[in-house]
Amino acid sequence: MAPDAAFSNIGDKNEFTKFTKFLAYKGVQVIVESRKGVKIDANTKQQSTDTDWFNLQIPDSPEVNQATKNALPSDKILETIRSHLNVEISVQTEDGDEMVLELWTLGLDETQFDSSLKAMNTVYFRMGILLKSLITITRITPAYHLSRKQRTESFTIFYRVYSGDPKVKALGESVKKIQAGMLKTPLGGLGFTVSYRTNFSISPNRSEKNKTLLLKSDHFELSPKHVIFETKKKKEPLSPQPIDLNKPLRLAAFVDEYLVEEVIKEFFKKFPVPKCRVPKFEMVDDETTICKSTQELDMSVISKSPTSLEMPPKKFPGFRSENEPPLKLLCFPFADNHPIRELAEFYKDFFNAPHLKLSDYDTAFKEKKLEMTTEDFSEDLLKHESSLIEFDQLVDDMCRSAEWSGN
Amino acid sequence: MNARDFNFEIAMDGSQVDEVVASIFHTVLFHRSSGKFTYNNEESYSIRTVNYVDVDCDFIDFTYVCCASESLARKLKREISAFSKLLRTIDGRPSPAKGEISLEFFQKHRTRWFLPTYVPVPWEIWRVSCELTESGQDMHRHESVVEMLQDQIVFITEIINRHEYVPKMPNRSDADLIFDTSYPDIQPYLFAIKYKLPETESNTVSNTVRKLIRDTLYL
Repeated sequence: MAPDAAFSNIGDKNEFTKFTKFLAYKGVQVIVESRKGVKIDANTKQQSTDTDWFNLQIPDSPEVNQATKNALPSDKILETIRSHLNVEISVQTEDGDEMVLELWTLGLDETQFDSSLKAMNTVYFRMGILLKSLITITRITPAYHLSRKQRTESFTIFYRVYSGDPKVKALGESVKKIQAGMLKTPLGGLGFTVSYRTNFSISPNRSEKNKTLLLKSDHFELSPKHVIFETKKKKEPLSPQPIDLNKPLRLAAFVDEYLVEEVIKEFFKKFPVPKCRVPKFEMVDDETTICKSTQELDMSVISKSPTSLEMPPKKFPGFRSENEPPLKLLCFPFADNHPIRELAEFYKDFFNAPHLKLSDYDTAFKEKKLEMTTEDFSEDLLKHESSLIEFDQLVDDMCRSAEWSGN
Repeated sequence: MNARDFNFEIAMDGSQVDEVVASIFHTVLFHRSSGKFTYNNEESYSIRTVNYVDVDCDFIDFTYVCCASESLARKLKREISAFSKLLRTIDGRPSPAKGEISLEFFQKHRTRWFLPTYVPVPWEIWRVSCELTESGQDMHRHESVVEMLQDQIVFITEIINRHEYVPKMPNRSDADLIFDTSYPDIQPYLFAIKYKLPETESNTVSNTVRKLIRDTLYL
């Protein structure tokens, strides 16, 4: 254990805490920057200001700083780092498969203290060297090679910052660990550690048992040299696919939407569809339908619609709680000099928008809805069964009109 | 004073020598360089920022980080490629060609306090012993070079973070005895790159020509 009176005065301790805070902020920036998939060269660097922390030109992305700030409260810097500050790097394929690649941890090991280090300028200088080691080590793990390929392959790298015990289990059974330097201070050994998976087989995380495995077991090879994602599947002959009713219906090009609206209105006049039997007070309008948890929406879509698999992950099953911040999108492949960049930026900005919450009104609506009895449904069924002939006629009419228009 | 001495032994293809050596030396120099010092007075100074860049290797699947300093990159490239060229001219038969290149950090000590003459005293030496293998070796050989480099990069960071002896930050008048102040963008500790090749006849011009002829006939 580090001695209680590690620093001779409170000023030194405060300064040490401040340095440690910026070490954490810059460390997270280094890790995330290295996973953006961008090679740093002289042209990509901004002009240095000569007021950079630790005399190193490390970027200061506000988004990344915010993520660090959320995990590292300003009034509990040392306590949080003692209990570990973690940066999780994960990958998601275009098919929705996810995998945690590595876990970077900044810790303060109290058993590794060095009470002889008193000069704060030496601590500062050595923290700079620790960051240089971190920059160097970030380039040698398999995730670096993967991230460099994300612009040309169909997968995306995500990051997440959190404090507490590192969730190493997410890396699978085969894990390698590297210590990226350690600085012994009077309060303990400050150091970055990376644990990364060496088994890159990916297994689908969807619940359906009959889903075919989209990736081979040797899809991700162990050597970083060969870590290449081959998620682009071979083109198979197109087979008729069932219509997905979860997909929103869209009008075809050049269709007169007013005419379509008229036809639909006419249809509903002729054949009234069963009305949802809800109490009168509910006043079904547009607002009530929007007022639903996006989390719920996502979950319902994921379990039904294959289109939902294109969406970025909101959470990893198993260990992410809903309260934890979602993973953040790092970059948009091919969008550097493309008009879609604007859309991508818009998406990025609103990706982390706060979730809509269920209002009391909506909760009441749900409760009442549950009270609907089966009798109500039976009534509806009987009514429509009696109108079967009319329905058949309508379908015949529609088919006939389709044939005519086809001719 | 005894200098810390580290030796890496690596077997590699002739085409990989430059990049293997450069990735090790640049990693060390990245850690052993600071921003330019600006002295406010004899003892007080401020340090400017160090920029860094990624370097992708062509002959090995490896990326390393180095200081963003063109002049430093040029100097290292010149020294390493001189060594590499000589090493590759050595006849690799019967035993494989071997050579050693080192990055030596030193400080200048005055020989006599009243004389303006100095003697370099090394305090840290990083050696890379290269053994050339036949070119066009299988993939495993290539992977082993990459893995070895990764291990060495980790080792370098481990050593440097031990914070054993490094020269003290100097006063303005002694800055040139500790640091190389000739670079416009960075200030590394004084260093020298040296290499040695086996003292065999293979280095002579006649032997090199003989080797060339023999290789041609071999084809």
